[in-house]
Amino acid sequence: MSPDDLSARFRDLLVERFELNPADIHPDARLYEDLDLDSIDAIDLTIVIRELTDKKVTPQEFRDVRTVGDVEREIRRLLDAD
Amino acid sequence: MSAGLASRAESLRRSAIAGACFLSFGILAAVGACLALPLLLVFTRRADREARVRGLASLGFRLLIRMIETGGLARINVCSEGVPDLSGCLLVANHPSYLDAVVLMAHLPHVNCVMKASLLKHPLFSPFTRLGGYIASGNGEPEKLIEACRQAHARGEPVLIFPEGTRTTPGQPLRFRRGAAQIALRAGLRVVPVIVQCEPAALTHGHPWYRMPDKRIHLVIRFAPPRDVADFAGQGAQPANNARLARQVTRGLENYFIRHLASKLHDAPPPP
Repeated sequence: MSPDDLSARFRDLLVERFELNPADIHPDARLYEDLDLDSIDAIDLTIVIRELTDKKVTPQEFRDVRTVGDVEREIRRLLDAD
Repeated sequence: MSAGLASRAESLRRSAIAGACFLSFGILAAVGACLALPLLLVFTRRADREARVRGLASLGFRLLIRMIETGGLARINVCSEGVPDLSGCLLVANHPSYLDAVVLMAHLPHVNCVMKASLLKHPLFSPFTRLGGYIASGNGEPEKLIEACRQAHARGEPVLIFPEGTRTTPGQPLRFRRGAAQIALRAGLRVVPVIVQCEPAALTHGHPWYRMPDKRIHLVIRFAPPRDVADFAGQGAQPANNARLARQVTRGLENYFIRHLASKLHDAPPPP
């Protein structure tokens, strides 16, 4: 999957899982403040990331992730680790 | 004396009584923590300990309420007739006043409660909140929160949560955070809406104990029958998607409360 495809797939999943408005999702959007995710949603976010990367990830690894762009970078990092 | 001045004087008199009540309660809590808690720790089995500590806290709250009622500060009605066993349910309550939490914990001696992590560090209350096994929220450990609620459910304890996350801001629209819905969905608890009405506003943000209203507070707490959490999600809910379902349930709960809070104060249970 190309980085663009991956981003698109990730954003679709965000919209579907968290009822977000696609227009609100951009790399600088902050997950908690701008997109109104809560700490329990963060568990589901790691599930989304697991689905996209097929890697086992824990919420702890994503503790420092703040924005949509941060998550996308993490996903790419996980995939590049192969 | 003008009406305004009389009202100020009455408000001041009530604030003085409230101050005396809370001061007595603080002393009671300190004495309880120094004398009763150690005895309880020595003489109870480990398995019973948390329930006993909560029972002791509940007793303290009953005494506080007795003082508040005797002082003429508040008239309190708790209406739970027709509501069956609450064990293992999630009690979802709005939180207009400090008083409602006190009344609920006094009324339900074995209730567990999801509380701000800061309350578990409170210098006066932490001996009780920690040893009582109350459940912390907002400390960045959501999995522990869900698991603690699941265990409380398994032990048959009712779990009380205030989905606003803090006391209601008077004059602002009711706004629930999603924690209550998330817990009910993920830990598998049935939901009991607990509707709290308080007139006039008292012991809330902007109404501290030293600014009591100039007349007696009327607090009415009504329990609705337990329901499946998904009932609040309405049509078109997707059972497989907890994050989305939590949003739908939260909106459903908010609307339920807004509807029932709009009615005048009365002592009948809300319809299911």
